[in-house]
Formats: sequence, structure tokens, C-alpha cells
Amino acid sequence: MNLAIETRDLTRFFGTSKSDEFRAVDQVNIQVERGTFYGFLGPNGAGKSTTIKMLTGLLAPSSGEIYVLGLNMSDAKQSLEAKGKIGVLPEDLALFDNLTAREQLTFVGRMHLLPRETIRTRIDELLSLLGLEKEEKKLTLEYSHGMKKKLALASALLANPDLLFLDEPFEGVDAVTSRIIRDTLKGYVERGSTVFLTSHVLDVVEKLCSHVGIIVKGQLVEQASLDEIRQGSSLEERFLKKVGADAEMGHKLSWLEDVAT
Amino acid sequence: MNWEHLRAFLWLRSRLSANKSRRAGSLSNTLSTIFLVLAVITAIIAFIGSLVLSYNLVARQSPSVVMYVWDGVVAVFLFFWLAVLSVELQRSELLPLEKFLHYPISVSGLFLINYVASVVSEHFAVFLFIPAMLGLSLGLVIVRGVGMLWLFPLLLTFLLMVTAVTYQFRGWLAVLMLNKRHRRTVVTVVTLVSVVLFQLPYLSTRVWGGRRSRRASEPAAPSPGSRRRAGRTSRSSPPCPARRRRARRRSSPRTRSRRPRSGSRAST
Repeated sequence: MNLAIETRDLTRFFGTSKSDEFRAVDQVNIQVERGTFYGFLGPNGAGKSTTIKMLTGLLAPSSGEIYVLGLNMSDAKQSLEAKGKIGVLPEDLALFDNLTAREQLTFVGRMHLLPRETIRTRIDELLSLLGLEKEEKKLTLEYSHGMKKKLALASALLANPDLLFLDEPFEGVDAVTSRIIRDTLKGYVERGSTVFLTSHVLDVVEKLCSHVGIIVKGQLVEQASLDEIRQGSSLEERFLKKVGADAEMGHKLSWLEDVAT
Repeated sequence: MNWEHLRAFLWLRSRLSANKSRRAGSLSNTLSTIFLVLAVITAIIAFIGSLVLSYNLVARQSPSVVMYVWDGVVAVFLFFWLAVLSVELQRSELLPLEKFLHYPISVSGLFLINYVASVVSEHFAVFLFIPAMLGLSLGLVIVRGVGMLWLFPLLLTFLLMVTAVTYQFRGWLAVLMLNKRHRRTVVTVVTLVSVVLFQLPYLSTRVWGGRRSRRASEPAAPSPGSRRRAGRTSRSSPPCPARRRRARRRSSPRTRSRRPRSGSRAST
């Protein structure tokens, strides 16, 4: 099996002593094949962002092993090589407020040691595709949240990575932007690259992803192809069942129903 | 990490400053330009002035005096350094390393590049004090010989040490300030500590110096001998009439103006 991502007993805990230790990620074993669109789901605080931070080298694991594109992330040299082959859309977007879109993308291209001409051509194409060409001279701090998301996605795509990590790419994004991002990502996976994405928007995950992993309280409770997980029903139902959510919770607020009637 | 990464970082810092000043408006830009020109002029004057001073005065003094001069220069430099640091903490956009961790560059390389770029592009205190220190060292080398060339690596080491410690300190504060509620506290505490620190020389002269002078002005318990002497002076007779006349002559303007005239007559 040709794996793009593999973790072995990946664990991360926070806290200084055993008494206040909090296990954000607990012995997680993820396996993502190359060329797949992998959706990483979980309720708030389940450990999705911590996992993605460890996979991209932003956070060191407390224990366990990570292999990205066959390279061991705990080895300094291999980790650098892996970082050259991946694109990341982090949770906080990692943009500079006082840079324009073109400057931001130029910096990313220079950090990946791309030739100047290649950087210029790709920036033109990306800005045009994501509808940012008219706003390219504005500073990022003047951008709306959706525009910032698009720019962060462009930054992740610029170096033409083999693997893309996206942390909540559809959060706070309007329908038009969402459609653009979805189409861009579909095309990206069709050419054989891999996407690892976390999202709360289950509809989008259902439309895009071929494989899904569900994490609850730091533990991976399910990992399979989308069809296997759905088992004939919708992803939302299966997800709610897996995370142990009570579907009748809304009806328990009797006082709310009283007001409505 | 390579040369291209360092260039990219310097370019990033230059773009961030340029865009910030573009946002700040024309008045701010004019003021910054004036400030920059003044800084360059001051740096040139500092270099020439310290070279002349070192060549003509400092280098010809005893080693202990030279050491005290260097101590003074270092103290003034650190004073300015802290002042600039407390201002920068409130104003500048620090570049958190988290924003770069997913790029293909090692953490140590990233730290080094960010540090070098920050030293080159930001520190006005370095920009002003390096010429003065270089001038002082050069004067010493000219007067005292090649042996004094050791000053240059020592100077470089000192500057790297101060900037590196400050960089780490700023990084630590930046991490604390990620939380907006902590940010205000950090800025307040740093400013307060800086103010108290800068007031220390004044406080020391006012408090300890005041005590010392008060102690000195307090009358010591008089000994029997001194009492006798004091009694004698109080009882001593007034000056004799000849002395009084001489004193009057000295104080009256007439006698002063008459003397040269009589002298000139005698000469003619």
C-alpha cells in the first residue's frame, strides 16, 4: 500500500504534571493512501487541529511516529524534505496582515526556492482562479475572512505540493468561495495528489472525500472509505452515532417549544 | 536554510515596513525620513567624534581610565537599547516563528535567519552606537598599536550577545502577548520596569546621595579642644586698621582704575 500519511500510536498530551495532564490525541493510527481525499472529522475539541499540527511539523508529538510521503517526521532531514513536498492551510491561516496578496504568495514561493518566473506565472493563475486579481494590491488585513481563506489556500497550492493539509477550509466561507475551493481541490486530487482535510461541514465532506476518519476525545474511532462508513445512511447520521450525540437533545428543551407555540 | 531564505526574510521585513509606512500616511513618512537622515548624520558624527576623542584623549590615558570610558559607553548603549526595546514591543509586528514552521526550513535555521534579519533591519540603537564604538576602538588601535585589534571581535561578541538575549526575551514576551488579555499586562509591566530602571541613577543620587550629604552636614560631637579653638576665633579681635584700608582699596572701583593710569605715567 502506497501511503501518503501514516501515524503509529500518535499521542500528544498537554499539562505539566500527571494530575493536570490532558491527552488531546491518544494513540492514533491514521493511514491515508496516495491520491485520496481524506476527511478528518470530529466534534469541537476532539483533537483534529492538534493532529494536523503534528502531521505538518508545527507541533512535536509526545510519543508515536509520523510518516509523511514515506518520510519520518521525527528525523530533522527527512522532515525538511517532507515539508518541501506539502502544502498547508493552517487553522490561523498564517498570513501577514501588512502584505498584499501578491507579496504573500511571492514570499511563499521564495521560501520554497521556486524560480522568480515560475512564481510570477503561478501567482497570476492562482489569483485569477480564486477571483483575487482585482484585490491583489490590497493589504491582507483589509480582506474579508473568505478572501483570507482563498489567499491561504493559494499559498498552500503555490509550490505544487504532493500532499495538501487543510484545516477547516470551508469555515466562515460563502457559497461562491466554497464552490471555487471545492472545484480547485477536486481537480487537484484528480491529477493524483492527496488531500487531508478537517471540516465540520459534513455535506462538503460527503461530496468531496473518498475516505473518512472520525476522532472523538483524542481517539480515532472510525477510519474507512466513505461508502463503508455511511452503510446506506447519511454521513451525518453515522457521525452523530459515532460521537455519541443525542439526536433528541433539541426536543428536551421543552421551554423552547413552549415559546415557539 | 540557505542564502535565498535569508534574502526572502529580509525582503519580507522590508515589505512589511514599507506597507506599514504606506498605511501610516505622508506626515508619518516625512517624519521617519527626517529621523533616518538625522540618524545617519548622528552616526557619522558619532564615528568621527569618538575617533578624534579616542585618538587625542582616551587612548593617552591609563588603562583603568580607558576601561571606565568603555564602561560608560556600554552603560549608555544598554540604556538606549532598553528604551528602544520597550518602544518596539508596543509598536512593531513581531514575526512569530509559528508562521514559518510549515516551510522547508529547520527550526534552528529559522531562528537564526529571523534573528539576523531583525538585527540588520530593526535596531536603531545598534545603528547609532556601532559607529561610536568603532571610532573609539580605531583611535585606540592607532595610538596603542595592533594589539588593540582584539577590541573588534570583543565588540562584535558583545553586540551579538546583547541582541541575541534581547531577541530571546522579545520572543518570550511575544508568546505571552499572543493572549490579548496578557498583552496589556506585559506592555504595562515592561514599560513600568523600564521607567523604574531608567530612574535608578536619579533615585540613587537622591536617596543614597541625599543620605550621604545629610550625614556629612550633620555636626559632629565637638571635642573639648575644638571647643576651645572655636571660642578663640569668636573672641578674636577685629582686623587691624591697615588691613581694613587695604581691603577697602581693593574693593573700590576708583583705586582699581587709578592704578594703571599712574603706572602708565611712570612708564612714560
